[in-house]
Amino acid sequence: MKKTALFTCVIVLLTGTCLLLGFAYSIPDEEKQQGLTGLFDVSKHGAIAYVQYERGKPTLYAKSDQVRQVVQLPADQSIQDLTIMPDGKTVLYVNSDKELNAESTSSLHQVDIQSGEDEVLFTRDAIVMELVIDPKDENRLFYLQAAQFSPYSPGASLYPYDFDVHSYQLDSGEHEQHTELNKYSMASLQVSSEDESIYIQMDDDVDAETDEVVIETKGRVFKIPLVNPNRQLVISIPEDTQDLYDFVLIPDRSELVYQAIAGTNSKGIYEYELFSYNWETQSINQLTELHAYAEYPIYGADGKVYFVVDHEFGERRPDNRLYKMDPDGSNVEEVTLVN
Amino acid sequence: MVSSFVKLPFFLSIFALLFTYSVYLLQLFTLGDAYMGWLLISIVMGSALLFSSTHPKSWMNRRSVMNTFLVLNTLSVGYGTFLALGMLRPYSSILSIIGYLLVAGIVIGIYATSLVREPSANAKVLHGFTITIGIALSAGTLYFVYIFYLFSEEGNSETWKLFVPLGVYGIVYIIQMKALKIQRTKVAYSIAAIQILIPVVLMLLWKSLAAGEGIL
Repeated sequence: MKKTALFTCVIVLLTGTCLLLGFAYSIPDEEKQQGLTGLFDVSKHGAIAYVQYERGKPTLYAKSDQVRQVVQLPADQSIQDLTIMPDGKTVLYVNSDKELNAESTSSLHQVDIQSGEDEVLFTRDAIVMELVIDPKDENRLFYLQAAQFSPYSPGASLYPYDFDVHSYQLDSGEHEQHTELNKYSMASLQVSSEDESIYIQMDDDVDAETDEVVIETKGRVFKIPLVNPNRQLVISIPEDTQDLYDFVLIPDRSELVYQAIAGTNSKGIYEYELFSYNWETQSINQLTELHAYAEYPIYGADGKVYFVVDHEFGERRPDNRLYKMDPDGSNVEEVTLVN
Repeated sequence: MVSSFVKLPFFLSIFALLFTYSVYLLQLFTLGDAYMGWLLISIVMGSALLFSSTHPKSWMNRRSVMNTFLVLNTLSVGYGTFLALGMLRPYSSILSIIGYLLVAGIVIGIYATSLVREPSANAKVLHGFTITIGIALSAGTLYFVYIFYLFSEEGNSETWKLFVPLGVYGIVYIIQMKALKIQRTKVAYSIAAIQILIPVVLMLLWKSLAAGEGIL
């Protein structure tokens, strides 16, 4: 009998301790995100603004001569995109709910890197997805705006829908809508540094009339002149990369830098490298050979291609690090983001 | 030899309890997930087995009761192994190997409790046979249910059908043991012939369900 009592006591005690520890140390799902995200931007002089999760809290950092924490938002908030101003002193970022709901709004913030002073420039009853400063006019900010849409039953999480390209004049506060396409999706917005046009990836669904056909359409890259948005131009991309989604256009070089599978490692896990495609010469070049997971390429204002490499791809936790290289694939190096 | 088999459930219960605590705590401190429900269920199952194996005079020490506890422990330890597989290395490999060994140990324990304490030779053969079918049937049912949830978009309301063979098997098993008790050996053996068919029925059921879902 004594033994039974002893065993019971030990088990109850151990289990009780485990439960208490569970209440104290379990981490809610929204606080689990950790580490560098694919959101970063680089100014003309090489100043970098980037977002990193710290226990689920989106945290905006800026690095010029040293790394500085600029903004930290609560874990239920998200930063959709950011852009660093050409002078490298202020960052624009757009903030919304991490879990989008029917009441979700997005607001554009302007934050001073030195002082941390944060000002809301505008708030919209919609989801603002991407921000790009016009290389020809630094007071003009282009953005993608989407309405919210729930594809499933009420209560299911909402996805952005009905995309269009807008712009905002930073000096006068005027908004302008440039396209009226109401697209299912739009991504990788880029503004030409030469003429009044933008580049965008969206589905080629001009002939699609029913929803079923839309699903089968391929994502394509378009050049849209702002004066006449109906005169879209399809940028030809390699046949086998028509469903590409993670890429950046470098219009000055007529090139597209994109992510693709280059092989597998010894454990059979795919290795993703960056490639470039020139749509004038139709030539493809492999740019990186890091044998990891290279993603989120951007074209920095300093003329370099920046991207993130996950050195723990296929594992439970990513190990994301920032890299940069010349657009032709030379001088690949890691960018240290700690003091 | 016999005495070590009798002690097997005791050791199994201790290891199941330790395994449960280790998986729970490692999961909590490395990934921040607290599987409290599983912890409680698994600890209650392990403790029940511990109690039944240390109290020979209690009703809980009866063969059928102990076997039920063993079967329930395979489920809780099995889920623990599943959790261990999703952990960080090296914990995932170490704990999942321990989990597999433990499940294998419990299965041996099921055979041991059924056969070692059974005096009649006829019953020994039949027990050994039915348990083997039972294990194959349970493993198959769980596997199919898992696949079904993985690939089926809708129509989960049909999943219960997959459990029908296991239910039929349970009823047939009880009838078989009753027949054996009243010395109807022939009846018991002819029932065994029916039991062979049950996994086949499960396969056919699965095929028809999977075809309906377009999985196959």
